[in-house]
Amino acid sequence: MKTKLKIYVLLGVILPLFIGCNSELDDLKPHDVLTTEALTSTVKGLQQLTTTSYSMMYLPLSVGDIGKTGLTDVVFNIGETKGNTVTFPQEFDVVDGSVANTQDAFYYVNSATNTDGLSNSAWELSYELIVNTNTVLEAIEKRSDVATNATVKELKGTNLFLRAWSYFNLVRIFGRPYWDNPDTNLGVPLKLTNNPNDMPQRATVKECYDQIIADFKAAAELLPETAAPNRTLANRYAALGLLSRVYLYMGGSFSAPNAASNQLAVDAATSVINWAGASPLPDLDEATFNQEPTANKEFLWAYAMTNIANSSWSNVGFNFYPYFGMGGEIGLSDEFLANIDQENDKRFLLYVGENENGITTTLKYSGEWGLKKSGWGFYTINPEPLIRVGEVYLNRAEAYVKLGKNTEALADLNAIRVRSGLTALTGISGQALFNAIFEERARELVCEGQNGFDFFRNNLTMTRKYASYLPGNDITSISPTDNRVIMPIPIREVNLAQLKQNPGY
Amino acid sequence: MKKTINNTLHYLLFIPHILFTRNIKVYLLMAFIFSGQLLFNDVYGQNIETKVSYELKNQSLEAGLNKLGKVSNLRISFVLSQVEKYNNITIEKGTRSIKEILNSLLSNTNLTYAIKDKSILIIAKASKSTQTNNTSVPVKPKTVEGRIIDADDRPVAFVNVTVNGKNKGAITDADGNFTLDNLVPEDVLNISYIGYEKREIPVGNNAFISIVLNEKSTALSEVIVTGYSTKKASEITGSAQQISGDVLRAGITTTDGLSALKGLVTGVYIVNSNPNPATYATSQVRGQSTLLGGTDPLTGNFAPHLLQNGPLIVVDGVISNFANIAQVASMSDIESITVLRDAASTAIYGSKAGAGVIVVTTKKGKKGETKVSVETQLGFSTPYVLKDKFMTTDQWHDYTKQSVRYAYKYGEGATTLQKKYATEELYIQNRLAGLYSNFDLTQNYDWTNQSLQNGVTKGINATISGGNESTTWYFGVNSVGVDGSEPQDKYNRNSIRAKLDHKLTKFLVVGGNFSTIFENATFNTQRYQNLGINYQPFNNPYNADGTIKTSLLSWTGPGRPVATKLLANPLFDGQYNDRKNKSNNFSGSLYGKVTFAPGLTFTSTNTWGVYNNTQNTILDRRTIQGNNPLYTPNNGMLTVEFNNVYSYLTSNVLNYKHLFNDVHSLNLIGGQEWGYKTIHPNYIIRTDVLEGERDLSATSSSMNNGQLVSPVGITREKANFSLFAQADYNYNSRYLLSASWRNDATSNFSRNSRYHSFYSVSAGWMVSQEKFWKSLKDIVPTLKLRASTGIAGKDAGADFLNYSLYKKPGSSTDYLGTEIGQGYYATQIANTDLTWEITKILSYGLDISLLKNDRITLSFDGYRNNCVNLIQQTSVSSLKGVDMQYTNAAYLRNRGLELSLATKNIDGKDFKWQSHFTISHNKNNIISTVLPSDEKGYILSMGGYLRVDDDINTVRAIKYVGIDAQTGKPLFEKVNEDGSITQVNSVTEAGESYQIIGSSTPTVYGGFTNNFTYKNLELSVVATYSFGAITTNSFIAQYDGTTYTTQNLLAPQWLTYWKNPGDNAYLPSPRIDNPYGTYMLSTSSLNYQSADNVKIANIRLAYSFPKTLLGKLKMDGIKLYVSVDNVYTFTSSHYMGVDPEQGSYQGNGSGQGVTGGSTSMFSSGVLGAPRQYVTGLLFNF
Repeated sequence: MKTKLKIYVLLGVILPLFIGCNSELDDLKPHDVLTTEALTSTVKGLQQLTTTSYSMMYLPLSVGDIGKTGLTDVVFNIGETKGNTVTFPQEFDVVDGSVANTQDAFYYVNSATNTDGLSNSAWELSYELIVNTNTVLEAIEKRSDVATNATVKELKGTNLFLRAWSYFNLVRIFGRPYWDNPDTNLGVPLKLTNNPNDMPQRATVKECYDQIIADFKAAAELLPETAAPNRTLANRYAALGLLSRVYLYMGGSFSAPNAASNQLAVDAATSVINWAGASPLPDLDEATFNQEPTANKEFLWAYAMTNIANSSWSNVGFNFYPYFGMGGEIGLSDEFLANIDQENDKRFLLYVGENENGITTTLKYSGEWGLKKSGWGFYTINPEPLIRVGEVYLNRAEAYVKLGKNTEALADLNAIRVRSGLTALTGISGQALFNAIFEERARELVCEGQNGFDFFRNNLTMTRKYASYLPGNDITSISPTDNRVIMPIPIREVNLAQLKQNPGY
Repeated sequence: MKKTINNTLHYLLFIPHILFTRNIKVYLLMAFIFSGQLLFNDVYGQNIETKVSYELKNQSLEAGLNKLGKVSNLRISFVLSQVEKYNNITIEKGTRSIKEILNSLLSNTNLTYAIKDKSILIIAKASKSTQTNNTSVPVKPKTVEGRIIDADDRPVAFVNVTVNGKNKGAITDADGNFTLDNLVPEDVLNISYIGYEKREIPVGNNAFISIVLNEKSTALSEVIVTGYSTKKASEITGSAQQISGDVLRAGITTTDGLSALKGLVTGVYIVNSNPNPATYATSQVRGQSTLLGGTDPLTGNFAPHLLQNGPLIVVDGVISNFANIAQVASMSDIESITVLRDAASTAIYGSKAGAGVIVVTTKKGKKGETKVSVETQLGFSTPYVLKDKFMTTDQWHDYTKQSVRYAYKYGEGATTLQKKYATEELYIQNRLAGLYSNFDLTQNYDWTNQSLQNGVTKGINATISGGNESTTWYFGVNSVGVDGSEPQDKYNRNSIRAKLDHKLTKFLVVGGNFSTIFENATFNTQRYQNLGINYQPFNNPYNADGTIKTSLLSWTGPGRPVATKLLANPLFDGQYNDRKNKSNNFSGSLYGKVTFAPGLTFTSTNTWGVYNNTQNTILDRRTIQGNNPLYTPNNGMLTVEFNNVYSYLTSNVLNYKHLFNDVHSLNLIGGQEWGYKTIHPNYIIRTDVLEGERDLSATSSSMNNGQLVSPVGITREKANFSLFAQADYNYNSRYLLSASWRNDATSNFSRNSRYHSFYSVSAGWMVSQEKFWKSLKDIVPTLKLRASTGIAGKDAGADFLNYSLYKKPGSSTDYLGTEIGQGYYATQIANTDLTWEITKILSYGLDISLLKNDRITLSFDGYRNNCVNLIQQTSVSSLKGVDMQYTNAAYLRNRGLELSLATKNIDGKDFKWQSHFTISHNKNNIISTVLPSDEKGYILSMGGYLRVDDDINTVRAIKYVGIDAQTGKPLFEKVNEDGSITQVNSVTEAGESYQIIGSSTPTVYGGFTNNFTYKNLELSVVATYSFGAITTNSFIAQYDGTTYTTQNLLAPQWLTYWKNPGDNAYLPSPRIDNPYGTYMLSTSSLNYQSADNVKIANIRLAYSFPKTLLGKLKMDGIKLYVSVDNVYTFTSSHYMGVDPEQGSYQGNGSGQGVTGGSTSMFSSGVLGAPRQYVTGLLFNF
């Protein structure tokens, strides 16, 4: 009997040890990281996540992205290298052999392999940013204080704004131009939640634009009405300025314009131009990129560089960086140099110069102010303009000319010309005026990631007269119907999300 | 907490529960202890006064005795032939003392009983005459009966019992009984049996003799520690190999037990070729069983770059936090090391055992006289370095000129160049202008030979142990200091271990095991071994007046401004910069063992561990490393890292051992473990540091090169809960069965997938114990077959992979200077399905010994391990929000064969020669993996690819054929779509023509040890080998891509290059116009070379002083020895370094060593582990 008793006592002692273990293990939580719930339950946390979206624009943060370039860089790169204003000088010291021609956006997928090209980066980084904004927006939906809490209201506006900006980038990189059957041509998947299992297929180009417009409009309502105190954050007039560009992209070609969209572009642009924060049109000397961006009246929204941003070598400035071997792969094309009045155009003096290797390139991103501020002594942190007043004038000019309002168009064009030290044009209209506006755009917005889109959204064939470093050097003319006008959907996304590939790839 | 218990020892024993478990448990445990004392105090033992309930109805004496044995829990032994004649005994039901019952049972017989050890022996009553046998009256011859049992009370059959000097003998029956007649008291019985120690027993007055035979310590009779239990080798059903501490210590002189194991055990691939004395060996049991990455055992980081696939280390039954033996036990404290390789042995460790288990047992005190052992070691080491093989200044200059000349004469732009420059020499002068204006080419400094040093090794070990009937104790002190081959490399290790076991009462033993290890290491901040490659010979570190230059210029290549790159002068910087690494490892176990009844015990082991590691790295402001004037001035940089790990593990095991009917042996184990660990890694970088200052508070800036550096500090918690059970059964040591089960839960995974069960089933057949084997017994004394199957696992992954997690970016600049900074970004998205990595194991083997005295012992093992659910960080669609996620994706298979052969070649009286040979083969296959489409070349750890059917370490590269003697261009194989092969001149043209050229893990490896003894002199030679692996050739890599050079290279007599048409050279011409494409050679087979090697790891000559001398000195032994380590490494003739294993993965387990991490894949092999000469003196008294 005693033996049995001993065993009972023993079991009685041991068994309680086995109970409740699950909850003890559940009690352990990660310390140095936060869970989604923890982060989205506070306004501070939502602010943090929103800041993350800004950070993602220049610094890829996700696990698989280490070493990749930042999102704004990618977008600028694609927009620019598909255009006709820059070139890849091959005058590098042969010993280094870093041939940049693979960055040309027409070089298949603009990288040596089809898995890590710029198109891939644009896709990945954009969707990471989009899902991040969705996380914040979903959390805000659950709150009841959007109307009453100014911070929450602004956060909602900011996230809608950033989401619209990202979708706009995606649809112009991966979707056919708007004049080309937007109801049937495919844009990109419209992912509007943060649920990992929500895996939408590609929406049509039109659906994408509808979403972009809805988001920008809502953002414009929510974002601060007062003069943007900080032109490096999302704000109402940045949303309107970008809307003018979005509508312009929908406005068709000069020969087949869409009046409704062009009128909307004009309206959006006008509300910016009439805004006290942007009028009168800032003088070019004042509006240089080479100063603190937060209060620069030229900028509606610019991406501000901080030291860290530039030190990652993942930004636009890097491509135009004046020192050999550390960027500086991109020079200005002969066509651009022929298109600009090198004597009188102040923009030539301000923005164009030679880098260390004798390559003519832009100085937009490498002025002395930024040089000093970076603290590095050898490269600078000038801001990246995402929408600025000069562009809005040109947006309106183009929309006007497509609406047949030649006088208004000419006035806007001349505003930009005159502030650049050029003479005002007179007596032109129609196609000639459109051409003048188009050329002005190339001069004004050079190296801001626009030229590549400008040709094809206008259904124009781009002819490159300078040597191209494409395989075989044979491509000099790109028709707007060419498959290569838009980028391939990244192979991994085609495989992992079963997305339809763009034709020709 | 109410202090209701007064008994201090009990209190101490259960402190863990007081501290770490819920109060309810504590009270219950207290109650248990308290009541336990009351209940069991007077029960256990052979107290025959104990009263039991007993009844016998007309039964035989045999039945009566058996019944008494059962009710009393006592062993009653008798000789059947003596007992079986008594029948029809009746004893009324009632409670009586055992003594009374025995007296009643034996009342009408000529038998009586005796109490011996734990048994009651039923014996014949002694006759009057024998009781007076010390008189001179001649005694009558008598009959003697006896029984022979082994140390575990099991009868031993077929034992030969002879009588000295008489032609007389008997053999024991199945129950171990024998009978001999016509004996006189002066007769001496001689008992001998294969595998057991001989015994001689005088007959004396005994009519019944019980003899215990002790097994001889042969390979199969050795007691092997298998974790929660110990077994005799003959009873092992799994694959386990034990090496005694003495054997380990007779090999290379090291502080790392794992390094010492190399070559001695099968199935374990061990590498330690690191010249730094503070780095530990790395090991892999039976092939790679997990994919890239694992959990750093110290920081808890899931570290994809860390190939943490080494085995689990268990010390004295306690699961350790470390991947290295050096961090848990000193060499001099090691009693034995057991390597568990298959499911039968490892599954009991469940989730942690997927990659094998190494069980370290430390020494403990023994009853008897106090033993003291002191060992002193003194030695020195010389660098084992690749000497005199690098280019001189002239050779380097010729090479560089050749690269320019080629462009001028044969390059694509030759015609243009020839127009521009009239002569070749003009062009050379132009291209190399920077070289001529900045460097003095008359200088010729030999960086390899002049930057390394001889080291000193000092060591003292002392152990004191002893004990009496109730207490045993052990103290070990160990102190070692080693200087490495590279300047500043120093390692210092001090440790203390104390063990105490005390028998508190008859049923309760308590004990403690305390260990502290202090390690101090200094590392240089530059790899001196690579200076011969990285610095050109004309870059003399000394000024003309003999003073050291404060900095050097770097040759950055033709056409480049030389001065834009300032090079640290290692000789100057080395005076001020180093990294000091201090770690303290404290571990304390308290345990209690309660014996409830014979064979039934409960053991609670409670262990606390504290590990503190501090690294202090200074880059002094006077040095280029600390203050490069070309960048934003740092004015010195101080990096301080702290890493603290606190752990607690309670392990509670119930064990029941019983032998039924003398032949059925059963051993049951049930237990539970709860482990908890907190980990605190922290680090801070500060700049603006005064000269020589190493304290954080003496610094002033957190800006490094203009970037803000923020401190990093993390707390991590991890907990595990486990239940386990094991059952071992054997029938007469002939048929062996074993099964184990374990259920683990870990905080790594989500609630739903947190639990997993691991199990094993195994069986063994001791063929040589069969009756039919009797005739073969002389030729094949032992033959055992065994097989096992089961699963073990790996709680790979950490950091709560089941949560979606957000983290602050490591660098912490503000966006626009707001207080928010860069926000939080998603580091992972939840995968709640994520679960354990599983290794499914099938293993079989046989053990055989041949000839008398086990002249040849052989163990053979084969296995197939299917490693499934391996965690891989796989690509997911970006639509999910991140593009990578951890999933259970991959499946690997390891198959292999292992052989261990020990022979006594010569076994003479004075001269003995013993050999031990081991060979292991492992074949790995990727069965499935995510992303098979990424089919680039290179090996996995270099960021390459995984492809189904390949070995995990397969190297695919573009095949290099040689050079075109006419053009000086390289030739590569391009595989066309139809499978045909054409030769092309560049890797770019070859495209994706990657072909398998080998694997970076060997196909066979092992060791060959020989021991020669002549009288008191011993000579041992340890050799290890490994064949079939390839390794990177970093000398070739220096020629890579940019084919002029900014570094130094192997001299052309070792590595020829093309100069003129018709030259038959190994390498193409260097070309300044580099047309071969970047990474020309690193993607080609040229970059790999055979890693085959045979190492004479150790030669040792020892002399033991003769006993006669020792008697006078009152000592037990004095041994003097001379030992040489890393004597020589024979390599393939194609190998260019000194030690191919340098190119294998090596780390120090914590991944923080100089060569830690996979970057050592690129280790050049310039410098191997140093050749070490040590003399030692060992005293035992």
